[in-house]
Amino acid sequence: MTHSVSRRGKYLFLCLLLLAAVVFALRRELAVLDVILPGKEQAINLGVDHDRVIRRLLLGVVLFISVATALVGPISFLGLIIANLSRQLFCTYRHTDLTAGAFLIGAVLLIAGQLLVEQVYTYSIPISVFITVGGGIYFLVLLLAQRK
Amino acid sequence: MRQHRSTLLLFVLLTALSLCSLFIGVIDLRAGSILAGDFSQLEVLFISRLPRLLAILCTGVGMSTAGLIMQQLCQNKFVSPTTGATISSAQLGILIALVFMPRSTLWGRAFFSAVCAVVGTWVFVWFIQHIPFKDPVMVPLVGIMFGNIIGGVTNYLAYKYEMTQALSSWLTGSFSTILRGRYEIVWLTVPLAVLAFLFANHFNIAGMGKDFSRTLGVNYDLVLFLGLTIAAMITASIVVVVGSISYIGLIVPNLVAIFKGDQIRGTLPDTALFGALFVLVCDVLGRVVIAPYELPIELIIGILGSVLFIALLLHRLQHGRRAVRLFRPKGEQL
Repeated sequence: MTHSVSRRGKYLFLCLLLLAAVVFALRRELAVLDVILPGKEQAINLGVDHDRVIRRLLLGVVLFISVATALVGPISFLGLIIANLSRQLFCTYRHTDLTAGAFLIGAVLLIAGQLLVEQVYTYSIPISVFITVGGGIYFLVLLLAQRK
Repeated sequence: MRQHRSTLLLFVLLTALSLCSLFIGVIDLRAGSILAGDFSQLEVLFISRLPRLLAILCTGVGMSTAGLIMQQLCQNKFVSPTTGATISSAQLGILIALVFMPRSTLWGRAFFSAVCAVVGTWVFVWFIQHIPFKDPVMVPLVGIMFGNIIGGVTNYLAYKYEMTQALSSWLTGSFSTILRGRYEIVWLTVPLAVLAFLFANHFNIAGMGKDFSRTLGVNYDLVLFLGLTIAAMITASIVVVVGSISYIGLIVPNLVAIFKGDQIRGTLPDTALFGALFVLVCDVLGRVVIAPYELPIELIIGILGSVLFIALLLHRLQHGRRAVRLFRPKGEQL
């Protein structure tokens, strides 16, 4: 029992290390997230190499997703839902607040989902079902609410 | 005659490839022994090869026609049975039939699948009609989301009633299980496609908007209902027999439209023939690549279709929307 826990713990630690390394490597690109928000022309106007920043950020996204998928498998649309939730709850454009918010919302969402799976449904249904159904309904309700 | 040149070419290619595909498979069929009346060879031909070919042709014709109708009626180039939640609804229908009526026949399941597919497509179209989207790419995204919700519900029911294995046979489309006596439901796509051809002009007009249809004396709601029901029933009959094959309805009509424009009556035969050809080529590839084993067609269409679709998008980006126009003058080629 302790052997498997420590092995799992080692993998998790390595993943955290990897994520931290990626964030550190992309620190300059992450800093200009607020600047590329208004669009390509505005960003170039303000002295940001738009294409290069986008390329590197996408690479960072790919690495993040690979780590997550390698750990637990693919979970579709989770990023879309968390990002939109974060934007809704934190009425700001600043990415420092938005990213921290997304981080915490994601953790809360997944832990709540796992709680549902463990306690209410006793492992009979995988969490991806809840995320796709719940997230999809949230997304559609958001679209319906937006038109008013 | 010039405008029918492409139709003729596709028809000839299709017939030739169909005849060749009858002889591709694990068991060697020889034309000589078939003509001589060898019983075992005739058995293979009539129980497996010919039904498989007919199922492939019906699938290609049906899915591409369904895709074309949905694209016309929703006025969006990216709508299809896959991105319009039709296939997911059909799968849900099959699961409901399996769970609540385990002794249902193939026809019973097909009926349930058709009903669910029609309802699902209707809800999706209602949705996109009542929400103004600034970007046409949002429509397939909403369709995929909606399809995911339905897929999630299907998964939930499958886990709850322990039918995940049964469901997986309908999640991946494959022609390897087509046998005489078990696939005839696919023939439904032929009269439905003929119906679509007869009403092609109505769909074209309805595809231009509610007000335009009213000025031309076309009952918009009725035509919309008819078109979506035809598309959903075609999809359901294919999903029940073959399984879900994604993206045919998306890729084939768009590819044909690049060359032939948007007038549905003129392009419907071409779309149907090209759809059948596309599915046939993918199926032959699946049989040949790792012979004597087979790759499921969903895999090959996914790979080939995605590559083609991305190339299509890049082509439209480079050449602008010039490549697609309504009512291209007859005979003009791009």
